[in-house]
Amino acid sequence: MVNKLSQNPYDQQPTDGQFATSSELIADYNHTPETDVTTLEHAVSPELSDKEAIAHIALDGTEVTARRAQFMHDQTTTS
Amino acid sequence: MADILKQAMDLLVGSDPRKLIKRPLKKFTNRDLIKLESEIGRTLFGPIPKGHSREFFCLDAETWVWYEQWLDEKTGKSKNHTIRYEVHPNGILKVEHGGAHYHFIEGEELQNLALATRAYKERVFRKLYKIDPATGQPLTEVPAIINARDQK
Repeated sequence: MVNKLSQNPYDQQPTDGQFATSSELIADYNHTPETDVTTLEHAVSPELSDKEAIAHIALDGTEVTARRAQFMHDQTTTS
Repeated sequence: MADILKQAMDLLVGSDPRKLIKRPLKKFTNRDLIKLESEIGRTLFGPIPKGHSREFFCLDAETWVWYEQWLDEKTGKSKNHTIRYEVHPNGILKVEHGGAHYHFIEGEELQNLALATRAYKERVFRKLYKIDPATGQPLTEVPAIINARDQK
């Protein structure tokens, strides 16, 4: 069993039998109207140091759980 | 007299006043929201092989979970693999097999996890909570999951 995180998540989706490159998939994603290009380009920057990557992961976890908590709070106060 | 009162009440509030009581909608629990988030998280890594099921989600602020289950073709038995990525001040600890194996990830795997968590946050904010991840402002007045719940 191979953990897919050992590979780039943007390189996982086969296109016509081949794996698309990160840039191709990012380009597709950037063309989605609801996508904020600036944010995504920042997100997939390959220049992250290990220290920066750790900080990003920590921040993402904090923001997701905060958003989840906010949603639960909102549904309590608005019902 | 009672009949007249009942008829008056029927005219005013309908035959069954209890129908006017607005029942509170089912609230999403933390677990419900994690399951919905994982439906997005599992799509970040491309097609899921036939016979496999996959979950990828943020359990709490310090823990990300990868889970994959599949049927072993040789033995016919169900197998699974769970990985916890724990955020520590000095790195991301990858914990496998219930804690039997663990090490701090680095290099490409660390980069890819950072890409995955950022993509997760982007998509979950936009698709589930309908929030702009950059500004924190609502994309719509009502989050999509509320609409989906109300239509059930």
